[in-house]
Amino acid sequence: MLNTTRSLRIKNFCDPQVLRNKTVSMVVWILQWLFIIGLSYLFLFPIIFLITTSLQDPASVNDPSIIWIPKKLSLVSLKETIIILDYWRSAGLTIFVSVISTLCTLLSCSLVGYGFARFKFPGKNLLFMLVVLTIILPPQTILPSMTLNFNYFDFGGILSLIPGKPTINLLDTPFTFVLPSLFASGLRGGLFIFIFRQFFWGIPKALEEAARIDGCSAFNTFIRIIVPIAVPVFITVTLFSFVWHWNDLYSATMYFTDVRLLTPNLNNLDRLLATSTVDVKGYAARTYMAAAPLLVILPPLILYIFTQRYFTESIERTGIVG
Amino acid sequence: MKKASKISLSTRDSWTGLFFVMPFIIGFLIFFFRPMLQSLKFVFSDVTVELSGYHTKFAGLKNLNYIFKENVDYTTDLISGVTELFWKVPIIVISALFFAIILNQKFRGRIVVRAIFFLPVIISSGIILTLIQGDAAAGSVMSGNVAAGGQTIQSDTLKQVLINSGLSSDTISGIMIVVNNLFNLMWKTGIQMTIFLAGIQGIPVSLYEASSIEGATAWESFWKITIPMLSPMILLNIIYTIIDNFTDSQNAVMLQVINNSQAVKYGWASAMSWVYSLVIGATILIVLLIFRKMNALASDQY
Repeated sequence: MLNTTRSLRIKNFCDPQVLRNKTVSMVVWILQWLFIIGLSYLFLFPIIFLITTSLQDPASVNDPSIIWIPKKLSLVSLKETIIILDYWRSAGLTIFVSVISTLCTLLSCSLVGYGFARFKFPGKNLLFMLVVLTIILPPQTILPSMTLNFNYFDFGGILSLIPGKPTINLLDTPFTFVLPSLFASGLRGGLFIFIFRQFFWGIPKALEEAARIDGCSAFNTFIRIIVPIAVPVFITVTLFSFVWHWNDLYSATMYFTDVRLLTPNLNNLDRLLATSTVDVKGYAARTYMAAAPLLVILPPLILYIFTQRYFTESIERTGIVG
Repeated sequence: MKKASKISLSTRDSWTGLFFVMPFIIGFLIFFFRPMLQSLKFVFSDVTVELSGYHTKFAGLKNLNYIFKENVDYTTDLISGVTELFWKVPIIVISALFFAIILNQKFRGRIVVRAIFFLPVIISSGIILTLIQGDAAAGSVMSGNVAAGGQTIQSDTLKQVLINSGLSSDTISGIMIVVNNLFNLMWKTGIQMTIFLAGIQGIPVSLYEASSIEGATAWESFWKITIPMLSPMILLNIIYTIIDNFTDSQNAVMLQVINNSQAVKYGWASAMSWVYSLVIGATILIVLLIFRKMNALASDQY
């Protein structure tokens, strides 16, 4: 008995088929890792560059003998950039706007996406064309009019029915981002509707039909059956929405003039450096130019590193449910 | 009796559908409709900005006439913007799918690799890359040279190799465009990769188990399970990539639109971006039609 297994094993080992399979999987493994390492370099390069440059002593930044590792670590640039960017106030406002708008976007866009994916109603195709229109019309086209709209906001003409025609100025308030998000028209709202619709489209109908036959209302079916299956989409949209709000430049520049959000500040960096009370020496500007983007990406980066585990785990858990 | 209940069911269904999409209808009317009409009006008007506000005067097709006949760059930029899509979209979507498949596998150090591959999503802002590329030392690595496989290859060397290998000059210049854009192209795959990853995670594991019991190889189950199950995501990613390319502020047409709005030439800017949007719309419509046709063909097979 033992003998036969051994001979079998030896036979297996010498079998050219098995040998070939082993070589193939080895080659695949090496290629895969070469690929991963190469791309990781590509993606890490800017971050490493920002970190090493911003930690350098401003006086020695143009020393050609320094390539990656700073000879003298210094937090001067980071500390001064925090003052130049008005970092704490600006970051606080940006976090507030991004988080609330993201939550509103999740709620409204998932409902609308489900409506488009599962129900037949008159005017559906026309409405979906309008969704596509909001996606493809460059935001820069309608931003000047949008800003006017928010400056004299009247809820699409509802307030003008009241005598005296009162309007509200929403500029410089988070409402400019939050209100549209609540009605699925926020930053890239159309795209999120489209993403949700595509995902719900792919879910087999049988589960919902069973629930509906058992007397579950459409809304309850959505909450109890669809949302648990679609957790990966919700996580994906949360990430996208937060990051896009964080990095938004055009609307943020138009809507906020008093306390600036972070990304518009970054865009104004040249002017901020020139007019700042902090004494920036010309030769040191490179370290500030690196410190500012690093400070701006730091909050989402930290958020991602801490939630990363939950992020990947929850994706896998739902994979089993599906 | 039976007929009556069927009708009431479908009307109830349509009311529920309307209830679900209601947020969008309200949002569109309150936030989008008027600004949209206004910018459409600008296309056909002379816009003058004064202290008291702006005034519009109907001007017919004057703005459209300007952008097509008097402005030398607009038409060329528009055409090159569309032709770029033919190589950019396939490269980005296929690489994104490839990355997603690699990241979905179980291997040691996967969590770290995933965290790194998500960086382009987190730093998706154009300004940050522009600022970094503005720095002389970093910029040379990211544009002129190719960063690949952990080392930089001088792109001139590559060009020389290609010329020596006897390829036609058109092919070489095509390859060089792709190679010189490699950094930017790979950085643009982040969103698509995440969408694919979420899509792959949503495919029931039982499908793969069943097919491997039936004797399907990994290669076969990739083409027969993964690709068909991902087809809504492939469509989504193609459309996202098209839009992302069109609305990128580094895009030549977009730069013209932005410059004209900053110079308070609202008439020209609106005309340019509406024509531009129509072109994107047409491109997307063609993609949607191709997909519908392919889906119909695929379902005929079974």
